[in-house]
Amino acid sequence: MDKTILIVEDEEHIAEGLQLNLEMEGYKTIVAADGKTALDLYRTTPIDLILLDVMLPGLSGYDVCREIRREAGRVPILFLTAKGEEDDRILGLEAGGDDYIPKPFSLKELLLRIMAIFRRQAWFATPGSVADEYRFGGNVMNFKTFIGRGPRGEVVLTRKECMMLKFLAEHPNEVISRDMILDGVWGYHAYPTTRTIDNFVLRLRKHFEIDPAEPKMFLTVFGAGYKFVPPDAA
Amino acid sequence: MTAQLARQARRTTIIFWVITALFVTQMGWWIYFQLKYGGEELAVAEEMLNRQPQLAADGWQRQIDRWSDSLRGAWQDFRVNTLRSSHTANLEGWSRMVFDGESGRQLIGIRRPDSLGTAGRVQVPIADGMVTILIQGTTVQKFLSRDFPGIRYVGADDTLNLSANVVTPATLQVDQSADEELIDRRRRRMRMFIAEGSFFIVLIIAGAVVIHRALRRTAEFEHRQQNFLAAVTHELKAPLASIRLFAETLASRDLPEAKRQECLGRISQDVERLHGLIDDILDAGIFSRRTFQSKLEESDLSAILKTVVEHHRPRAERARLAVREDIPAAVRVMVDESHMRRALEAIIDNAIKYSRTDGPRGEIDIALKSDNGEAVITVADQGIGLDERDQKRVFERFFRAGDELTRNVNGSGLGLYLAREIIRTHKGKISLWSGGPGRGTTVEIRLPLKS
Repeated sequence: MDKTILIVEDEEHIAEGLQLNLEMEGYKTIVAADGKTALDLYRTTPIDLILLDVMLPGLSGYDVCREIRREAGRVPILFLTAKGEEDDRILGLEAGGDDYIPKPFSLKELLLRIMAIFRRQAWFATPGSVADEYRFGGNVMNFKTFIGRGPRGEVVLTRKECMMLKFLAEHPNEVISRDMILDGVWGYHAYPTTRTIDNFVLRLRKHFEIDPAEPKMFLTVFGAGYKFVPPDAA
Repeated sequence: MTAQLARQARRTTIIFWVITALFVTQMGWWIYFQLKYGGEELAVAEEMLNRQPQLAADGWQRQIDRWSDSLRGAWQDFRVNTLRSSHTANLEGWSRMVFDGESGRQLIGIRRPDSLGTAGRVQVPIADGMVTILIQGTTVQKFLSRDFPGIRYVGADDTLNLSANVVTPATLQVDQSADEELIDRRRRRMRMFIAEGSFFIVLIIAGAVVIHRALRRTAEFEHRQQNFLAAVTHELKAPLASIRLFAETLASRDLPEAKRQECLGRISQDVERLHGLIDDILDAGIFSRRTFQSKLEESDLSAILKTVVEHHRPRAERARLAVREDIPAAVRVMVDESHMRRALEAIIDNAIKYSRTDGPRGEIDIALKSDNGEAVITVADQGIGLDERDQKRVFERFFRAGDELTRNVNGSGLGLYLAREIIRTHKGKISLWSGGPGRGTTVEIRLPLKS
């Protein structure tokens, strides 16, 4: 394994402990103690994953994440934070984070999640039953460039939104439970909460439904989960 | 989260002031109308009162017009000429009206002078309930009495009495005193309206200010508490996360002994940090109690201060800060040693935390001197400083300057609060000033000397 992980954490001890463990797992690590350094490192070094603390001196973790996404960076970002409230989770995901782990975290869980992110990334990168250029109901989505076209023009999706759409596209017209989505897209059960799934579905609707308030493709199945009904695949 | 709170607070404030403004405007209009139209109404009433006699005279004139009209009507019935009366009323003495010669003839509509006689005259004496018109002249009386039911022949050949209902000047006269009272009452009412209105405006504004302040204070306190919660959450969870991380590392990995010791060292450092924070929180609870008192004993402040400075020196050195001290020996004051140490620690800790780490090597000056019966401790740093607004608030509980997400420095917002509470129980004073952001901060403590 030759993955490089950028640890952005101003708490020296935590950074140190993370570095020790990740290196023992065979990852390469770089540590940044503040947001600005993290951005500089990200721009100059190839990085496969960022562990990003939210409370940082200068730029906050959210700001760093937003800036990376603004520059169309698609590196997976795993937020590490002491703020574990629902609002903060959503804020992190909206900033473009892929996952979120509250402090104090379990070492085992953190390593599992990092592994899961890399595993799902591998799944996403292999062409499956869905073409890289996926067309549905007048929309187009390119899973390689993350750029698509919805009823309101061009849309740029985050990696997680793309992965979610690809997962749904692989299971058209099936009722999919939120747990299946968690398994398929995030790769484990513990996180995120099923509420987060709802958030992602809302965003897909906003991107691709003609009227997001009256979804025709991304349907909610009460008490069960979701069903993706692409008009041309039926 | 914070932004949302601020937005909400701003919205509440706006709504609140709009309602207040509406109330005040309404009251203002009320007073304006009272002043403008109330005054006008009053003026009209006053003018009416002044014109009373004139109006009474006018009333008489109209009455006479009516009489002449009815007389004319009577003469019309006789098919005597109809003439528009152009009499001149002589109201002299208010007792009778006399229409001489031509005007008298015109009044009763006789064209030819000899009908009344050249010296004929019509007299209209005024008496209660009846008007008698005496016509002195020739021969028309019998026509009058026969064919005009309202006119009665009473006297000699050449006189005629005409009776009609009369309103005398006595009843025509308006009761002026009643009117004056009415106007007075109106004037009083107006004054009361204005006074009441002004009172209400003042009341509303005062109420608004009080409520607004209370709202703002509540919002601020809530905000601070939230800040505190966020800060404490972070402060508690960071060492906790570190402890857990190292404990799990030790449990799950086979580490060389040196690494193991390093991990254990990290754990005990974080335990220390947690311990300090928990102490702060608990102390804040204790010190904020009204009944809290320090146990004051005579001690050497120099020794206490020196101990605290030495305790912090290694940390300052690590942060590339030079600590300069100017502490004379034996300055005796009444103190509670453990509390005083706590206060001094909080202040020196701040001086280190808020010193700049980016520029050249910074300095912290710590001095103690006796001045005017007081022991004066000053702790001056060249650190990040505070703007004027924050300077006023640093001693508030949970107050922390800056933005919670990007704050550089760990802290609970309790240090200076605790220091102030402690100095208060020592009957001393604590103050802070800063040249502004980036220009350092100085804290001064004054304690009464033991004489």
